[in-house]
Amino acid sequence: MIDHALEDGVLSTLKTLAMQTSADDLEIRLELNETTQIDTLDDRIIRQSHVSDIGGNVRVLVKGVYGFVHFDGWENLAIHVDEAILLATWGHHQAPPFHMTPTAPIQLIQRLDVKENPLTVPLDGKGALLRHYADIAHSAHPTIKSVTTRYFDRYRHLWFANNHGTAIEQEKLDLGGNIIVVARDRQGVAQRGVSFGSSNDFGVVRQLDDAVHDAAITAASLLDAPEIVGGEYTVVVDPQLAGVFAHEAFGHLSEADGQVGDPGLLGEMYLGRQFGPENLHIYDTGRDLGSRGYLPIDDEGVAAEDVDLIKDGVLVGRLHSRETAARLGETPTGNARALHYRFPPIVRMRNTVIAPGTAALDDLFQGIGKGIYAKGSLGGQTNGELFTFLAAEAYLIENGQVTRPLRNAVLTGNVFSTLAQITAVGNDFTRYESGGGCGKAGQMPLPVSHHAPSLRIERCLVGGRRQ
Amino acid sequence: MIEFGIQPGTIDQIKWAGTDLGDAGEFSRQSWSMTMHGGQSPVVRHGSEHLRAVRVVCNGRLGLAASRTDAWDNLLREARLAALSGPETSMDVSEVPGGRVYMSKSHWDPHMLPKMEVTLRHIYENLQELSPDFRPSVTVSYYERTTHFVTSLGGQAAWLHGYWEVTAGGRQVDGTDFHGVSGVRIKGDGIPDTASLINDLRERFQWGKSRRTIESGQYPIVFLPPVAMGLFGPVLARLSGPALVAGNSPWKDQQDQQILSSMLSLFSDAAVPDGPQTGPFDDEGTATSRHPLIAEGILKHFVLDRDASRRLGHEPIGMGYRTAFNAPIQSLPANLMVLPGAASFSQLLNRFPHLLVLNGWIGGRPTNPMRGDIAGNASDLYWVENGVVVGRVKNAVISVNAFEALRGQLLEVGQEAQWVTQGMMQAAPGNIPPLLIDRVDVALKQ
Repeated sequence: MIDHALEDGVLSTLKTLAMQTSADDLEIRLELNETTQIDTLDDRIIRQSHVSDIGGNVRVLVKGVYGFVHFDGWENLAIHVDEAILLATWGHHQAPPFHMTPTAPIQLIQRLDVKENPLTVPLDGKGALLRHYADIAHSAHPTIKSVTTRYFDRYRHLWFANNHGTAIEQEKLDLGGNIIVVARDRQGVAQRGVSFGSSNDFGVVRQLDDAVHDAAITAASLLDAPEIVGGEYTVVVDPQLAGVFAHEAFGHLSEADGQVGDPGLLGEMYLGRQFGPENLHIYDTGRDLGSRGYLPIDDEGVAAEDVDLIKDGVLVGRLHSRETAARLGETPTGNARALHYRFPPIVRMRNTVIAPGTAALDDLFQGIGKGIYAKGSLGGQTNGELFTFLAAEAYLIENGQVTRPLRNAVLTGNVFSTLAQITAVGNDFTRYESGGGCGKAGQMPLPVSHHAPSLRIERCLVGGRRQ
Repeated sequence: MIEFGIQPGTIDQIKWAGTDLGDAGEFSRQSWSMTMHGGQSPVVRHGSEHLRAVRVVCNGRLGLAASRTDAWDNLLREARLAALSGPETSMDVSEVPGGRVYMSKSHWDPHMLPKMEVTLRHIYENLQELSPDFRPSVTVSYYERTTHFVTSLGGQAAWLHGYWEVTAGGRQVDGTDFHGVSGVRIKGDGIPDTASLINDLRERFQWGKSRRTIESGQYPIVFLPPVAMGLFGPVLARLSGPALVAGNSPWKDQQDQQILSSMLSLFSDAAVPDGPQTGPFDDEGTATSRHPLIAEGILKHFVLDRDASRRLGHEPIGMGYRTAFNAPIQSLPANLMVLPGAASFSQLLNRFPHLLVLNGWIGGRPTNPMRGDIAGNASDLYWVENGVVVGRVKNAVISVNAFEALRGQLLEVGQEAQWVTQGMMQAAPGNIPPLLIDRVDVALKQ
């Protein structure tokens, strides 16, 4: 607990320090983080920890060069400010003069707004819940040989001030995890997981009985599933995988720090370009209370904007930090995020959303002679142009019917062509939250969300052996 | 009570009770780096981190306490309390010699900053010359970690390890074609020689200037170190503590059996001078060395931290590490070293009239590590004719089973090993040579 006299003192100290600076731009950030993590194997806890992090950082911009210092503890803040300025100015950098676009100063104190606070749930209770899920999985099928679970919750208390008059105190919460069910028999090993996450409710951890049971049955069914034959298929992806698709196949490309200084890419990513079908609407929002991508104020002290990225199939926006917005003559969008005080904020997604369409799920399969129905996600990756995402389950579609399970479904494609190959957007919009996270520039796992409906995509390249 | 400043006190002042069985570590990390990304402001960074961690075993249960600021007495009290309801453990305390301290000299000197900047600019300017539209990205860093470790049995050790890392690369976007190159160099006692890095990047950029179209099918492929490392991920998963304790690893009873090609020898090496994870002890205070994991394809040692070692009846040999500064201990190798072979890169390219070279693999990680199936989008793939790289291949998905690739399909191990850093896709740093693997499935978009 923190007493309020201290809180007032922290913010006023930061404001005073920030306003005294000679730097063009200065931010001071202090954090107090408390993280609880529990790992279980079957009916026993194999690891549990509760760790506190206390520290902060100073970032300055002087004549176009950043100095960034991070530190543990909250001592010697004035010295850290001087050090950051020294780093930005000591050398012979000849960066072109650059000034960030000023943003409206924000004065804000934001407290937690939670349904069930994980910090009030005893450690024993969390462990018992995870062991309960292991019991469910083991009872579901005799081939289930092990169940591993991981749970975490992280409370963050942040204080932020800059030399433009912004002063913010925020409390944040993030929780999540996964339950991995492993089936094994003479034919091999198969696994299926259940993932969960929230930024305001431990209750999501209490609602997984059916999902865990289903995961166990699915893992067992995948044991004798043949491997997918690589090639081009029409694929139907469920809302969970469609969300990952939006994140990997387009979200990262929309991050403007990947575009500035790249005339070739900026030539392709011009606003107004037709990217997908007319019923495709993709946006990024920080204002979905309860989602792991909830971020009303970003880590540069900028208020969240909902950012339409693709509207009516047309590229209409991109995600910005203050720097990238200034360099491209656009407006900051509240997408500058830092995983921890050890890192400077960079452009990241929050909750990336594909808006619902009108097609019923059954209709998505119609007319597919041979295709793949891919469900759930084991993650994805992109380099801007290409993307890959790993489905947790895959099934063969034959003549419009889902027929049998397949294993090792890896869907890949080219960002610029694949969005145009979406031929149907489902009406089964789902707010799925996972316990994973996004990785970029060494900052992983950053809590993000992706909400979406099912999609049908033509000519998707699927990996697999046995040509 | 939360402490906002780092509390005074040294680790050797911890007041262990006679009944305590435990250890404590004080970890300090300093980092300096300079970064230039095309189109963005340069960044000069310095970070200092400090972590205190105490572990206590009480009645077979483990109590942990870790903080960046707390006093040692508080942490010891918290760990004892946590042990009352902590997980069951088989962990014991390492036999660190009493009163001995192992320290090496820091390589850091503020005068290195100008040298870092010269290196940074030199690489950046060379990359700018590749093409007017090439967008370079270069970082020069120095990392240094000091560890001070004590046990309730009176053992004490302190050591320091630092290394330099240069990462460089960039990309050119032409229409919707991204042509990216990247590389890394690591050195223990100074800024790495950048000439070979620049030459590699320049060469690969030239290779990719022209494009080639091939048919779907099976091809011999040279996996360069960054992607070859991905093949060892499932191997480490089968060798490591969690899979063995859970009974999920098919290799549980395979010690001294042939599990991979006889061309492959893998070590956990904590003594290699340039290794990011080099040190006389692991993060649990267990003395480290160079241990064979797989020798000429035969399984020799599992990758086990102290808890997993004791559970499985093995003697701990120093493979308990943290993946991040304040992350829990895991079963991990120190530096994963794969013994290089005799073939030069040029010789590998001449083994077949036609083959492929793979250096980037988007999503190249297993859907099921125990099974080892991996498929990913080839982001950096080249076509070779009669030993000469003739162009870049696009829109290809490469699919392998890691265990089959490293057993029956492995044709040759190259001699030019390179460091692959620990990161989002790699739990441990590795020094990996190129691998020539036969009959790899390649699916091309029509």
